[in-house]
Amino acid sequence: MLLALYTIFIYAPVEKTMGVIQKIFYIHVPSAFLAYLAFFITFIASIFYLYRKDSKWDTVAHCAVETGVIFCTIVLVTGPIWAKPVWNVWWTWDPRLTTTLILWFTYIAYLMLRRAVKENQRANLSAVFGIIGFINVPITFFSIRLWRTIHPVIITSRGLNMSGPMKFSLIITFIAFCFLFFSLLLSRIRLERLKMRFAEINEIMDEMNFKK
Amino acid sequence: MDNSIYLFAAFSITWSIIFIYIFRLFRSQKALDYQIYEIKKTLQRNIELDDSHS
Amino acid sequence: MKFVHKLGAIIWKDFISEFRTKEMILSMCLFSFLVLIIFNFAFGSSPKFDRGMIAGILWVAFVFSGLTGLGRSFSMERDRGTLQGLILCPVSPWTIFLAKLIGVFLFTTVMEIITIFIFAILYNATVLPFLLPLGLITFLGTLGFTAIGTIFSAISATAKARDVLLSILFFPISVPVIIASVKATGIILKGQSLQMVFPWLKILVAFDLIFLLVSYLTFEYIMEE
Repeated sequence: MLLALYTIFIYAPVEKTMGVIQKIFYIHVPSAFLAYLAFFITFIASIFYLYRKDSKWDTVAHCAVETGVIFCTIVLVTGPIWAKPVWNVWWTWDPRLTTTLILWFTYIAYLMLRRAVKENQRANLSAVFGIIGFINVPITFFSIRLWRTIHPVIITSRGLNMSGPMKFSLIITFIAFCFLFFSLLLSRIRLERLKMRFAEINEIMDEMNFKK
Repeated sequence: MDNSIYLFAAFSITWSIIFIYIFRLFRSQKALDYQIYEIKKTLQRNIELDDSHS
Repeated sequence: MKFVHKLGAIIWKDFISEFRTKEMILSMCLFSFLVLIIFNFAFGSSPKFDRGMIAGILWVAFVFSGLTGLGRSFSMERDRGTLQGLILCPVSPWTIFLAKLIGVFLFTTVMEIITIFIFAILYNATVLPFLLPLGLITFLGTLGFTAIGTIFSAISATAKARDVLLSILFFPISVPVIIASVKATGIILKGQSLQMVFPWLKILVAFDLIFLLVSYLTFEYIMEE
C-alpha cells in the first residue's frame, strides 16, 4: 500500500549515478541511520515505561526493536556485499562494522529476553535491558575505535564526498526509507495493540462463558 | 559490468527481508481476523441460546 | 551504619552457604583451568605465543568461569525458593544488588588469583614484577563484568533457559570491558610502558561507574514481581 508507493519512489533517481555498485549505499546508509534511530526510540520508550508503567510504551519499545533489527540486518548484509567487489574483503573489524554487529546482537538478545521471561515481568525486564543496551553503544564504539587505532588499519573509512546528483538520490532514498521505516513500525505497533486487546477480550469471554 | 551481480544480490536480499517481514505481519493480522470471526460466532451462539431459554 | 549491617548480612549468608559445600569455587577454578588447557590445543601448541594473545586467553578463562558463578548468583535463590524472601527483606533493592555483586566479585577474584597462578605456569608468563598494575586491571575489569553479570543474572533468574539467556544478554554488553581488559593486560604482560595502559583504564573506570549508576537506577524494577 503506502509502502509500495514510496519504494518505487527510489528507483527513478537512483539510476542517475555512475559506478553501479555504489548504489548499494542508497540502501545501506539510510538503513543504518534508521536502525540507530529505532534503538534510540527503544531507549526512550523503555525509560518512559519504567516511569509511567503504561504498557503503551512497552509496546513501542518492543516494536521498535523488531523494526530496528530488520534494518540492522539489512545494513549488515548490504555492507559486505558492497565491500567484496570494492575492497575485496567481506568483512573488516573496523569500529563501525563491529559496533553495528554488536548492536545487532544486543537487540537480538532483547528479543530472546522477551521470549524467555513470563508475562508479568516481561515489560519491566525488557525495559531495563533496552536502556542498558543503548547506553552500551557509545562505550562499545569508543573502545573498539581505540582498539583499532593502535593496530595498523588496512582499510580506511569511506569518505562522504559525493557529487550533486548522488547527494540528491541519497536524500530521496533516505526519505523513502524513512517512510518505509515508520510505516513498518506503526503497523507493527498497531498489530501488537490489537493482539493485546484481543487477549483482554478473550479473557472476558472466557469468564462470561464460564458464568453461563 | 561484472559487479552488477552484487548489486542485484544486495537489492534482492534487502527487498526479500522487508517483504518477508511484511508477510509475517500480514499473517499475524490474518490470525487475528480469524479470532474475530471465532468470537463473533461464539457470541452469536450464546445469544441464540439465551433467546431459546428465555 | 545500618546499611552496612544489612549489606553484610546478605553477603555473609552467601559466604556461609558457599563454605559449606565449596562447590562453586571449586567448579569455577576447574573450569578456568580447563579453558586454559583447551586454548593450548586450539592454537596448535606452538610455543611462540604472542603476549597479547595470551592476555586474551586469560580473560576468556576469567569471563567464562565467572559466568558460571554469576549464573548461580540469583538462580540459586530461585531454586531454593529464597528469592521471595530476599525481595521481602526491608532493604533497598540496590543493597541486594551490591551484596550479590560483592559476593560474586570476591568468589571470582579468588578464582582469578588461582587462575593467574596456573596461567603463569602454563604459558610461561612473567607475572610477578607486574603484580600491582595487573591487579588493578583485573580488579576494574572483574568489577565491570561481574556488575553486568549480576544485573543479568537477576533478569534471567526467572526464565526457563536461564544460563543461555544470561550468556546471550551478557556478551554484547560486556564487549567494552573485555576489549579494554585484554588490551591492558596484554600491554602489561609485554612489559611495555605503563602509560599506554591509561586509555584502557579510563574506559574500564567509565564503564564500571556507568553501570553501577545504571544498576542503582534500575534494579528496583528488576526486583519487582
